[in-house]
Formats: sequence, C-alpha cells, structure tokens
Amino acid sequence: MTEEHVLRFEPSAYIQHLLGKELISNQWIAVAELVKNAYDAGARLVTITLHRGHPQRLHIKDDGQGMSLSEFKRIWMTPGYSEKPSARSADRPLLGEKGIGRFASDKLAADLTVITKQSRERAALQVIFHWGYFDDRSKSLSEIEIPYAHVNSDEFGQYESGTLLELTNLRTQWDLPAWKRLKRELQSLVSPFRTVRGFKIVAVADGWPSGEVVSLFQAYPGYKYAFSVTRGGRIARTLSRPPATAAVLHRQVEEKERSYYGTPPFGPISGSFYYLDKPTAAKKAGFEPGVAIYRDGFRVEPYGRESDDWLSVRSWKASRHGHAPISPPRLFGFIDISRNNNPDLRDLTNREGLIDNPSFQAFQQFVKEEFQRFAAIVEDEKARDETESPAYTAQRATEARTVKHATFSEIASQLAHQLRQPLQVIRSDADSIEALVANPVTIRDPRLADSIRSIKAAVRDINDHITLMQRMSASVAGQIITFDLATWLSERAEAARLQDPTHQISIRTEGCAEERNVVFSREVLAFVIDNFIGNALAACNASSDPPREIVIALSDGTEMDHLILVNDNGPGVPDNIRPRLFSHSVPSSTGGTGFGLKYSYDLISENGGAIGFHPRSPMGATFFVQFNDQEA
Amino acid sequence: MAGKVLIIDDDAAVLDSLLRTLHIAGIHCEGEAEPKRALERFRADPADVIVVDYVYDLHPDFTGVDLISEIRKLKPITRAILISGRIDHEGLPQEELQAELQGRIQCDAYFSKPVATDDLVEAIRSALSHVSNQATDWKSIASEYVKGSAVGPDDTRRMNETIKNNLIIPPTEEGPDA
Repeated sequence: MTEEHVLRFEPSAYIQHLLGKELISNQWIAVAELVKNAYDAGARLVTITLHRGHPQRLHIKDDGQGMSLSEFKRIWMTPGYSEKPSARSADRPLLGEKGIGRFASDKLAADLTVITKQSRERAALQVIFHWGYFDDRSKSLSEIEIPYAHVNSDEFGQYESGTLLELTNLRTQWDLPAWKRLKRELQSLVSPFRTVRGFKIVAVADGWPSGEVVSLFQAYPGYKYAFSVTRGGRIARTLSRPPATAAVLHRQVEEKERSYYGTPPFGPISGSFYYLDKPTAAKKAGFEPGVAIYRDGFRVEPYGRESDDWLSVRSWKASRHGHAPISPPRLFGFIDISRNNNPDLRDLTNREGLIDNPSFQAFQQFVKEEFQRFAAIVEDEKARDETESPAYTAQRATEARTVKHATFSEIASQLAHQLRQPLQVIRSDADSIEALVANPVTIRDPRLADSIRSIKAAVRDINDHITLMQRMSASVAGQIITFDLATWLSERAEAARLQDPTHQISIRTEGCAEERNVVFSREVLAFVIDNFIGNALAACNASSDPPREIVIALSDGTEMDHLILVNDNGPGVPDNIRPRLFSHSVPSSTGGTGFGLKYSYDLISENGGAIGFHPRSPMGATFFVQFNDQEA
Repeated sequence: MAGKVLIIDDDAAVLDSLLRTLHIAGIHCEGEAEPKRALERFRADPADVIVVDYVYDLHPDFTGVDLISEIRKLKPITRAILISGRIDHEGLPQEELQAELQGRIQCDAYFSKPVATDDLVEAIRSALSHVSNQATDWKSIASEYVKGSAVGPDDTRRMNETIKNNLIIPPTEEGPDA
C-alpha cells in the first residue's frame, strides 16, 4: 500500500517586493496601477494629493465602496486574488486581472497606511504596512504580521465610503518635472478619444499645477481614418478631414463594409488614426504622437510610446528611405479593446504589454494592415489636394468659417440664456411694484424697496453681459502685435484699482519692473486677464478678512515663453466648482457673467497657450495663463 | 387657495424675485436653489405643485425634467410647471427641451423666461385646483366607506389610484451628484 504525500509552496516574504517594487518599472506606472484599482473598487473620483512638506507624503483617496475587515483579508491580503467589491455600475468592466496592483504602492513608498471604510460602518479599518519587514528572505510571506485597528477617521463622513492610501517615506522625492510627468501620464491613462463616464481623476499639489486630469482629443486639422471589425468579421472604414463636420467633407473609403478573412481571433475592435497637418496644438495640449491601445478606456502600456514601434511605422518609413507619406511625429491614434470582447488580449504580469499569443499576433497584423491602408489613402489624398488646390483651399476656408460660426452660435445661445435671468427678475419685480403701488394700503410696503433694488442689480447684470460681449467681439478681431507686456499689466492693475473706489483691496504687480516685449493678441490677453482680475476683485469683496490683496505677477513660463499669474486671498474656489471651472458655465455667487473662464480657456487654447487654476494656502486662488510668442 | 408650492431655480436673484412676486400675488410658496436640496426638502415636506427651472449650471447633466421625474418617484401626482431661458431664435424652446417636453415628462405648464406674473399665477392656481379636486374626491369616497354605504368598483379603483398617486415613496437612489 502506497502512502500519499503532498507538498505546498511557502513563498518567501520577499515575493512581495518581486510583485511590487521590482516588477513595476517606475513611479508613474505605480500610481496608474493604484488609480485603476480604485476604478475597480467602484470609485467615481480619485484624488491624488502630494503634500510637499518635509518629508513629502502622497495620498491617493477614492470614493469607492471600501472594504470590511473580512473583505480586506480576502482581497488585499491574498496575492493573485483579483475579486473586487461589486462595482457600483454593473457595466463597469474590471481593469485588474492579476490581483497584484496594490503592491505597486511598494514602488512609491516604504510605508503605507490604508484607511478604508464602508458606508454602513461607523468606524474605518486602518492597516499599516512597513514594506521593509518583507526584506527578510528567511521568513515566509504569512509570517509577516500586519497590524490593523478600527478607527474613527476624519477622512470619511458618517455615510461615506472609500479608501485612502497614505504613502510615507517616499522612495523618490517628487519635484516639479516629476509631478508634471505624473499629470501627463494620468492624462493619457484615461482615453482622450472617448469619455469614460462616471470617473474622474484629480491631482493636487500645493503651488504646482493641479486640477482634474482630463483632456479630450480635439478635431485637430488633418486626416482621420476610423475603422472597426465586428465579432463576425465585418469591417467598416471611413475617412474624414477634421475639423470639417461630417456633412462638409466626409468620404467613404472603399465600400462601407468588407469581410474579414474569417472571424477575427482577437474579437471585435475599433480604432482611429489621425494624421495632423500640424501636430503643435495637439502636443501643446499634452498629447504624444503614437497609436495607443486602450482597454475599456484605460491605456495599455507601452503601445504608442516613443520607445515602442508596435506598428513598425518607423521601420516602414526607413524602408522607403524617408519618402513614406506618414511622418511619425504627426501620427496619433488609438485602438479600443475590452476585457469582455477581447479576452485573449491579456496583460503581461508587469503591465507593460500584452501577452504575445496567437490572438495578439493576429490583432497586431490586422492593425498594421489598416495602418498601411491609411498611409496609402493619405498619399492619394495629398496628391488630390495638390491637384485640386484652389477648390480645396476654398473648401477649407468654408469649413473654418463653419466652425467659427458654430462657436459664435453656441456663445450667443449661452448669452441669451444668461440674459433672460435678469430679465426675469426685472419682469417679476416690475409686476410686484405695479401690484403694490396700485393699492393705497401697500404703497409703503417695504417689499417695494426690495423690488427696486432687485431691478437695479438685474440692470447691472445685463450691463456686465453687454460689456462681456463687447470684449469678446474685440478679442476675436484682435491682431497679433508686439507690445510691452510689463507696462500693459501695470495699466491693467491701475484700471483694477479704479474698480475699487474704497481702496480696501491692495492691488500690486510683480515682475513688471523691466520691459518685456511679447508678440501676441493684446485683445485676447485683455479678455483673459481682465476676467481673472474681475473674479479676483469679486472674491476679495466677498471676503470679510482683511488685508485683502491681489497680486498680478509676470515671469517666464515653465513650458512656454511667458507666464502671468493673478493671485487673490479671497475665499477661494469651492471644491464642487473646481473640476469644471473652464469647461462649463459656472455661476458666480459674487456676480459676474459665469462663463468668462470658459471663453478665456477657448481663446487661449485657440492661440496655443495654456490656462489654469490652483488653490492657495491657507485661502485664495491663483489663475494663470502661459503662452508663446506668435508670428506677427 | 390651500396647497404647498415649491419653486426651484438656481439663480438666487430670480428665485428671490419670483418668491416676492408670488407672495404679493397671494401664492404662498417656498423656494430652493439647489435641485438636490430641493429633493431632500420635498422628501421631508412634499409640495403639491413645483415650479422648476430647466437648467442648473452646477449640475449640467441634471435638468429640471430630471428633477420632476425624481420628485414624481416620491409623489406621482405632483403638479409641475417648467420655466426656462433656453429659447431658440424663433422664440421656441431649444431643440433638446422640446424633445423633453414632448417625451418623458408631462408638465401642467411650460413658460419661457421672462414669464409674466399673471400667467404664472394662473398656472399655479390651476394646478392647485386639480390637487384640491383630487383630495376632495378621495375624501368623499373614503367617507362613504366609513359610513358603510355601497361603493361601486369604479369608486374603489378611483380611490386606490388616488391613494397610490399621493403616496410618498421612500427614495431608492440618490439625487444629482450625490
């Protein structure tokens, strides 16, 4: 009779480092992994906060479902286990499949405190990891003791849920370039080609560029080639010429649908290639050239990076001795895959590529062929453009006018809506006055005075809108000229002082002592800077704490030629408004028209500049604009 | 005329002005600027008629039509009046709003801003009279029940519907940006 024996693996504690610190190649991928974990936990908002004191601390907080102690044991404490708390949205696909994303925190810091809370729990679970304890190779993984406690945490309200990762003893010191790189990496983590609904990333570092990490790829001028293949092998391809609207210039490429050479083994996919006339605007908006892969809206590394030529674009160009119609710096694009539709396209364990299996090889070959087809079409189109040059030029001019008119139409529509609000006030209060004065009993009713005050305020509101329209009109008509920005800013500051007749707000300039000649539209800058200053004055007037101060500062930009900052020490911008400060009409509780910032953003973006906001500590706000000299 | 009226408009000046004007016109009403707070307020103290602005700048994905829909989940019989400044160049509600008005929601009245006080007052009074008639209907049938009089199946059905429509249903999901 034979006796059966069994063996069991007993992993060394050091395996934790192998899965985290040593497997993840850099700190940016590590943060991205933790953000993806938060998404899988049902989060709608992830906030990454770098505390820049000494020593630095990094906090990653999400509003996901949080974990109970038993869930934490099952999910966090079991390497390779990838179950996530049931996602809030049933249609949210899970990004993690390896069950090791959490170990990425080891790449970032020596110590990690996890605070996690479920909405039904009163106390939060706090777990403290000292990754240094895992250095001892003689100990098995299960011998390392991880302390935990239930605590009352200020981080989450009574009915709130979520998880906070407090990373301390950071392995690398974060400087401004590293922080900017993180923002760029996070910007490209979520697909800029389509909206991932119900998920936002906010990055905050005091004094450094902060805010929501979101950017959509605009309709930059050039060629756009979109293709898709269905599960059954049907292929659709179209070519368009952004920024033309589809109705203006939109040409089918070959027949609408063609059959694949059978069912695609990699599953249904779709994608687009963009070949831009000039890549400058896209690059300034933070987009890198290359064709990236996004799975369920999140980037799969390293495809599309400069170091990765997965479509052999550069080698193909080299084989044509530089005469290929596609120049890599002008090529952008994406391929959309999904975990559900393309289950064979799986991540490598280090999350830096897909497993090189037959499905991936077929997928890569298919996309390469689409790219070659696109390149051939671009070559044809270029030739066509040259032969039909006058007509083409006229058509592009028409398209540009169409786009411009659409923008004006949108602005006019918004203005009309905004103006109807004070008109409603005037209408209602005029009716009130009429009713009150008609009756001898109510002729001295104090509500009469309220109505008259209300009408006067509404008239001021309408006047603000008219002024805004005039400034918008001037900004559009403005010419590129050379002028002394320092002197001009000093004049703007003087004009601002006139708007504060009681002189209760200190308005001063910095960096304006020396002449600084710039080449730009003064009217565009006037719109933006006057808007910043107007908001700062309103903020200071809303503050009851003296001394109230506005500083208009001029310096060299970090990424562009010139940087102007407008600081105030008012009450600051409310948290709920910050994410959409430049993207939506924002009502101002302190007056103003509500969409000056949105229009400022559009104006500066059109002129290749950048605009932004960050909160000031302990209170106040800084709005900034940076731009390069333009060609006069 | 009895009945609760709640005005929801996120423009504070407009809200103040509407409340003042309606009070002078003899309509007792309350106001709320935040749609989410309006929902909470309604849950705690339901109104009979709501006057709702269509666009909320801080909630770009949540319109007055959404708010009416959420409120009617709490109390289906709630009368609703929609007001909006979203008007196209021909003076009609903008395309998106037109589709909403023809689609999923039934309003007692719709007005473009600026709305005349007389028109708004008339619409509110008309909506309140419907509420009042319905309540009277319910009470008289219930009274027949109590007295033990014969009540026909139509009366029973009508009363059941009235009770159901007036029921305050506990919330099942959060409001905008909760």
